[in-house]
Amino acid sequence: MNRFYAAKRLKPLGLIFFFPLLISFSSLGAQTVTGAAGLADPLENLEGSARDIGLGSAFVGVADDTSSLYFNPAGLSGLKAPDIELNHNSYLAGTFQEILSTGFPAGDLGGLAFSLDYVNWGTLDLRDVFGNSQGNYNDSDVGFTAGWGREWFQGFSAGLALRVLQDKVVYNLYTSLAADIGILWQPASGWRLGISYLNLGTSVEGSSLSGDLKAGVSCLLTLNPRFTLLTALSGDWTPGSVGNAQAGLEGTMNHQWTLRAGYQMPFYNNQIDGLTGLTAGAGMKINAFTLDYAYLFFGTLGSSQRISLDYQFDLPKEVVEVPVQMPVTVIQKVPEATQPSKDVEVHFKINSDPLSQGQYLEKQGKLQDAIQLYIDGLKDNPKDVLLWQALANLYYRNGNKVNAVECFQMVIQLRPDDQALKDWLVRYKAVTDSK
Amino acid sequence: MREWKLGWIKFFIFLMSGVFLNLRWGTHPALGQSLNLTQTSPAPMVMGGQPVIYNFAYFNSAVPVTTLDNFEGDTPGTMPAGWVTYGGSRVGSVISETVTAGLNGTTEPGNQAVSAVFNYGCSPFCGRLDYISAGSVTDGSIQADIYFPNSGDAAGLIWRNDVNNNQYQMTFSQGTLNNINLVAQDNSPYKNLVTSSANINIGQWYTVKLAVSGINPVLLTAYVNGTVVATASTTISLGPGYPGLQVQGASAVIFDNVQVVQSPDADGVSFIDDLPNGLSYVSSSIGAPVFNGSNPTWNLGIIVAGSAATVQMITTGNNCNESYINTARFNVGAPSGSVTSNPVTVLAVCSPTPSPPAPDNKPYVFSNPSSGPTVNFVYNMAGSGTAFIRVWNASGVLAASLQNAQSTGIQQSVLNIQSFAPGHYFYQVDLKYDSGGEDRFQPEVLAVEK
Repeated sequence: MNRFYAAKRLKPLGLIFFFPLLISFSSLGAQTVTGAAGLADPLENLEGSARDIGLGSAFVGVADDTSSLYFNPAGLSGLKAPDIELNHNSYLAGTFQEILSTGFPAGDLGGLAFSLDYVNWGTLDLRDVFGNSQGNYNDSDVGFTAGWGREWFQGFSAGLALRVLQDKVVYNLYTSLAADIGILWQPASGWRLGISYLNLGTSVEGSSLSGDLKAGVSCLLTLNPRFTLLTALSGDWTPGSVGNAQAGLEGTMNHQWTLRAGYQMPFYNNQIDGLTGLTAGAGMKINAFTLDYAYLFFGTLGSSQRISLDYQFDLPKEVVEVPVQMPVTVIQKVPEATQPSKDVEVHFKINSDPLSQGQYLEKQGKLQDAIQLYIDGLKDNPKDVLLWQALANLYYRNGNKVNAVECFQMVIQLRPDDQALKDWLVRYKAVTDSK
Repeated sequence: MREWKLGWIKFFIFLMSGVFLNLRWGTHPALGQSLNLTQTSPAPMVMGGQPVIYNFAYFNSAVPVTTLDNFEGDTPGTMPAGWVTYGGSRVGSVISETVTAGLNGTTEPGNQAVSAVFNYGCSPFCGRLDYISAGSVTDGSIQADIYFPNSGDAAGLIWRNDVNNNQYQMTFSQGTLNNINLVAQDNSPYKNLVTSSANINIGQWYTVKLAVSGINPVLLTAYVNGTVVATASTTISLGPGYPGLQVQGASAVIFDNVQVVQSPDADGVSFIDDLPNGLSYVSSSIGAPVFNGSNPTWNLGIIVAGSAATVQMITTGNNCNESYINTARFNVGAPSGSVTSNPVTVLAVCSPTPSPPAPDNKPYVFSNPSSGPTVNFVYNMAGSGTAFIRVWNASGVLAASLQNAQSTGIQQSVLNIQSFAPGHYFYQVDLKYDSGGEDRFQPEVLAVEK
């Protein structure tokens, strides 16, 4: 909804003279104008999905889905599957916003995302320079954003987004361009650090853009195979204006049910009475659909309520290069060597499912990576009994008996006729309990 | 006294609404003073019983004329070109005023300066060089780099030196006192106006300057290396004369980089507002005026050429049954008749009181959309108290706040939005009453254009 105006102005000639000369000075009081007034196209609290807002907008260091487009385009590098999402934002004073976005992995290019943005400013009470009513008017903005993120080094991604906008203020039409840049670093499994600068551009009608420098960190904790906790912290600063700090928590159960809470603390007196800055949200995943909701308290100004509906398409199959000692299937015959001394090309295809990849990692001794891979796989297929079994076996081998038992119980739950496993689990628990 | 012509160019801007702004622009001869007066805020619209603000800007549009001499083009050993002694009539008392090679000023790369040496020990100052190429001067300044080769040397700058040996002086001496004097000499009486001091050492260059402005009184200001070291005011009023240099007898002082600026200042300036009936003076940004009848008058004194300033005057409109035509103007004391100024006439438009907030006393803002510079918030006070108006940008970040103490009834608050970026904003009106009650209204959208 932020806009970067460059302007094409449509103004009746008479108003140029009429307006400045017919202004009344009635009651003169103590007036304060902040730096935010002179900045065009503010971003905060406007862009993003219900998940982002539910996390208190502390998303720059999370940036793990298509909505990275609004906070840190570097996060688009990690898109695993195509998705399409519709966001509705019921905003202040009867205004509302609709965002249609889509993102998808693009192989070696990283990830791409696009969004269409529509803002309706509600019914504007038109008044002339004498205060006479001139009826009502509906203003609206439209925008289009394209973003790209790519992992350039192991764990290090960078991204760029470009935005074209058309903003209408009754008699004036503004068309503009803006750019966002961001980087994302994953120093260790579960940890992410992000920095971005949003709304980079030239001035609009003499007013600078409301740029936004963001920085944040997040940590995804797998407390047990069924429950993950995402913590996020961030801060942002608008040059020439103000800054905020954000914090968010997201708890996910069984990869299906999610609760979120967040808080945005401004480093200035925003003069909004009542509870403000607090956010709360929830989400649920049903097959390929994810429904999220967020509520942002705006004190006496009202609230912002956001609903997002996301559909994720099937994961694409991934081709991974592996050493020849992996069990592989030859999909192309070795060409006959007409001259034995020449090299030949051999192409292999392996199964790309998490189970095969995890087993390969186990053989490499990368047990933690294998555990994470199984867990990620279970997020998408929570009823995959083979993944549960692989995870259980790995916990068992790794000495994590509590998690092992829990995973074996999930296997039995999904495969109740496996009497042998039931018997073994009883014995295993007994041995465990006796120790 | 120079005669000045007075001329007016008058034009009208007539607008569809019936509002007009009447400006008069003065023309001026070369080196003439011209005080331009404009109104910087839009024509006010009077609301009964509410303040009316006038913002005026004025400036002396005269362009100073500068004359320079660094003596680089002169022949060593001769009198520098463009200079004479004693206004050209007393050459016999001087033995040597020559251009000297090998001495540099402090501010230019040349290698010549002028040394003035007089052969007898008259005191205080006998040897004078008039810089006739700079022309006859009234207001302005003379500046020079100066070098004292010997202990006890004394020299000075002069202004308005006429053929009768009358002039204003800035004198300075290298000695135990290091005195700097501002002097007015009129037909022999030598009147020392003020004495100051500064460290003046032999073998060093200094940049000294004497500025003179006004007719009666005349203001004198002395500078050393850009710092004011002395000021004086005198009623000894001298006519036009030449700028120049002077050296005390037996001194051999060296000068370079002489710069003369003729600055046609306006003197004895008064700013007058011809308040019409129905408008009453409240306050101003330049202090309390004196009243000539009902018209407030401010004595501004000297307005230096090229300088600008603003005046804000607040009045009260008594009612809304008529329109007010207010004129502001200058009176200039001296030079007599030499200053052109342009009065500004402003028609204050009387408009009907805005309609009451409705329905449910819901406040509103006008104009909406607005291209500024102000917007008015209209609301109904159920009792006396304070109105708080707050405006947030589209993200909910505070853009402006305004509070007014108000009495009961339909009231307005005015917010200046000149610095606002174009776009949509949210505003909220919160009325807190002295009795303890409060009316807080739902936020609404304000659209700002540019």
